[in-house]
Amino acid sequence: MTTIQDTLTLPIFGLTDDASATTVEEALRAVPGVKSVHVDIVSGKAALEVSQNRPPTPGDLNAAVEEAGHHVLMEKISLNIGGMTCASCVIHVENALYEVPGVLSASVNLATDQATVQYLPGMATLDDISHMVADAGYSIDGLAGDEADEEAATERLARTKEINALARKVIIAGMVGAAVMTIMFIPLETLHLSTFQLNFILWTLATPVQFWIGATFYRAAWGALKHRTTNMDTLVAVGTSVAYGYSTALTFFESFFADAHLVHAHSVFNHSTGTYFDASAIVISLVLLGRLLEARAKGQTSEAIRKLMGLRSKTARVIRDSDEIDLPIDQVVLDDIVVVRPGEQIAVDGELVGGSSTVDESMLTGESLPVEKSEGSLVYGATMNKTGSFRFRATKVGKDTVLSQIIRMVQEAQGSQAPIQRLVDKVASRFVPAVIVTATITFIGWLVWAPVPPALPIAILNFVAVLVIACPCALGLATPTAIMVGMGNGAERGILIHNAEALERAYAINVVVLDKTGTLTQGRPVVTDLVVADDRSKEEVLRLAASAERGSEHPLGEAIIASAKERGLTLNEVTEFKAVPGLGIQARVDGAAVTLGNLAFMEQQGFVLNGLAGQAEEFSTQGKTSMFIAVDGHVDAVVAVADVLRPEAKEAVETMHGLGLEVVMLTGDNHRTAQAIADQLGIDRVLAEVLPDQKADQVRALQDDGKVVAMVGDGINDAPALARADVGVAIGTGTDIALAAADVTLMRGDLRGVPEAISLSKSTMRTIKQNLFWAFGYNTLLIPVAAGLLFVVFFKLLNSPVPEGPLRYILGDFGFLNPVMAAGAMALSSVSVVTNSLRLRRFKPG
Amino acid sequence: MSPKFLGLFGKNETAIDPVCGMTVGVKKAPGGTHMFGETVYYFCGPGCRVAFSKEPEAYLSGEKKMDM
Repeated sequence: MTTIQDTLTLPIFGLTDDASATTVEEALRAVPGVKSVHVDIVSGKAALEVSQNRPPTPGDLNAAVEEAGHHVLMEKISLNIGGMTCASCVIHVENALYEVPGVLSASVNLATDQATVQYLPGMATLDDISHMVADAGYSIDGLAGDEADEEAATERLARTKEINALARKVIIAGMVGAAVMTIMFIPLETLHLSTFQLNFILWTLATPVQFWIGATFYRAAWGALKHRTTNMDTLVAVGTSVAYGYSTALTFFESFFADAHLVHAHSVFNHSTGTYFDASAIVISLVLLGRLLEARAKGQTSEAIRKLMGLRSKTARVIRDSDEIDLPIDQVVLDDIVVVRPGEQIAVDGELVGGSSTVDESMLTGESLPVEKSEGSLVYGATMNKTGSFRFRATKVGKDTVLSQIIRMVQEAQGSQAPIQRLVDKVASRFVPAVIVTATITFIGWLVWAPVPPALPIAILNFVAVLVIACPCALGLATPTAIMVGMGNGAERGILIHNAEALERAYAINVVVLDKTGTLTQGRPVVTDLVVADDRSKEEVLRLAASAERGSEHPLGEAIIASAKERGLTLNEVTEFKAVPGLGIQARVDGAAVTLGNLAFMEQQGFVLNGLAGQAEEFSTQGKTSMFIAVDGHVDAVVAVADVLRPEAKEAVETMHGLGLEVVMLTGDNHRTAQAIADQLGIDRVLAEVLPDQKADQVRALQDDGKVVAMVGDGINDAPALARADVGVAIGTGTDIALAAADVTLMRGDLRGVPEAISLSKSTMRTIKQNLFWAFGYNTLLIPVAAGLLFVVFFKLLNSPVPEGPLRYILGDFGFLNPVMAAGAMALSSVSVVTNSLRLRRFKPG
Repeated sequence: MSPKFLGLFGKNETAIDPVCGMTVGVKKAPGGTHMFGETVYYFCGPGCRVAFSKEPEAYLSGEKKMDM
């Protein structure tokens, strides 16, 4: 059903002249159901009179306007509707939606509890829609999620399903395994069953575990075999099949084995039946348990991404046609003016055009102090407005916003492969065949040189134990889990690591090169000293100088003006302003002729320096720029301007020294000035008088000396050097976040992020190495035990059986490792690897 | 036996939602009730009750009866 108003107003985008208005009018008039059209180019709207019986569809109208070369500014949103209980509710909600003036179409789906509404933003607002729906007895429970969120939700659901299915299998296999083991320990006599009857019961229990629950191993092993490779599934499939096959044969062909003195091999593992169904069932359940824990942990590692996605706001209040309307975030377009009230989330990136406020940007930068925003400041989507109200012009929307870029980058980075992983893969591909060979040698060895008569079971059990314990399943987890958790942790503290390779290389860094301007310093000059000649008033001289500089756009002039404003001075009108490039300025303030400039300018003008020359000389040794201020031809003062150091620079350098790093400063300044700054900060080496295009060469020179170099710069003019360095670190200043050039971006413009990133890298690499040990070393170490070498220890060296107690179950009488224990050890190595990686979530630098 | 226990077996009284035609339990009608004339009507949800309250006659006369 469709009801529609008899008049419609369509806001049209792109109307420029009468000719285009006529084209649109004609196009609309041709749409079936349109009675008359009037297009007004001043308001940019088309007024339509439409037939109520056969109204035009929004699609037709839109198509007509598009064909005429313009766009209808129409909005389409999906809303979650609450309170729909029956089929007639669909109609009630639809009716309510159509009652909102400006709604062109509405369709409600009872199954998904969602309504799709197409409306004209100039006429209808989300508020109107929500009120009307509430009046009808329903509620709007927010906007239906966008595609990315839905994708994430589906993925989460699928993962949960998979985990639940796996958990069921683990429980079933575990119960069967436990039952089989218990039965095996009960002496035959108490059960009043024959060996065959008992074995038959065990066989019925173990068979479904082997072939139903264990099917996953067979499938994967078969897949690998088809590609002529082997993997951990091969090991589990072969191992459990041998244990199961041997036990099955023993069950049904008892007499054959009895002849060979094999049935009563009790003493090997205290088994009263001679079969090893427990080994196959429990190995399968423990390997699956390892995978279950792994799947759970993997879900936790991508938590960082989920947190970031959750930051995105859903709606924005946008001014369109001088009305404030609420729009879903994906409909905000470039140059929209967005209104933000106190306490609200900022929807997209933009430039502030009216009002002022402080904004909490901690979610993006990790910086906890709110940032002051006034006209011209940039604001970022997902950050939180604190106290003031303001308007901003949208400059980046959708996938271009800083938050979206961060999400995409972290996702890509978490999935990237570290070089160490390639090495691990290479080793693993050799490892599995090697294990199969070892297991086969073990089998043949014990078959030939069995210490006690039943050679076959001993050989089989050792064969199975070797296969299972060597299974490198934790190996696949060792590197990726650590990288995912490490990068997630970094992202949360404003350190964006662009790929796993950078994370790995950062670990080996021994030299950090810091660009001076914008990295060690704040990148904008400020007035540091003001020395007056004779008995002139500092305030008066500064007021005159600052007033004169009002006409100037030079950064040094801005520094002087800022300094005057800081002291609360009122600046006066300036006339006859004249700038002499490279020298200074002249202007008339309050009737006085004010001249500001360097030494050369003063000399050119023929002014006497009033003994201030020495002072200027001293400033320049301190790395400051001096300017003389002359009033009516009399030099009154010298003012020193310098790009001051970041407050945290010294601490950051000290922390880097603490990490054993050599700190180098790179600058275009002269040696003397550069050395003065370096001394203040305790920097080890200075590379001064380096032209911007030589920065990369300097980095290369350090690398040629065998150093692993990190280059820290502001990401714009330092791009070649950042790329050249082993690890390029871009320091985000809040105004430009260069994501492309560097390997690491510090979102919070804070130098302390450099040592933080390096120690994060070190922690991550340490974790990877520990993981590799747990996954690899530890299994490899246990291979000899699994192969039965402890037999030699107990019987040849100690000359006694394994002592009674738990050790007897693990090692049997003879010191052979029980395959069940081997499987337990293997599952434990997966768990320890994942747990170890998750520890990185709590990483704190320092 | 306690009345509560008897209630478990006793037939629950039901009514027909005049808007959508669903059967609704009288004791705790999910959409509440609406008194029109001498009769109390029960609803499956608040939406149906609001719709009914706006034009009760239309629903009772069958004019607004919906084909489901």
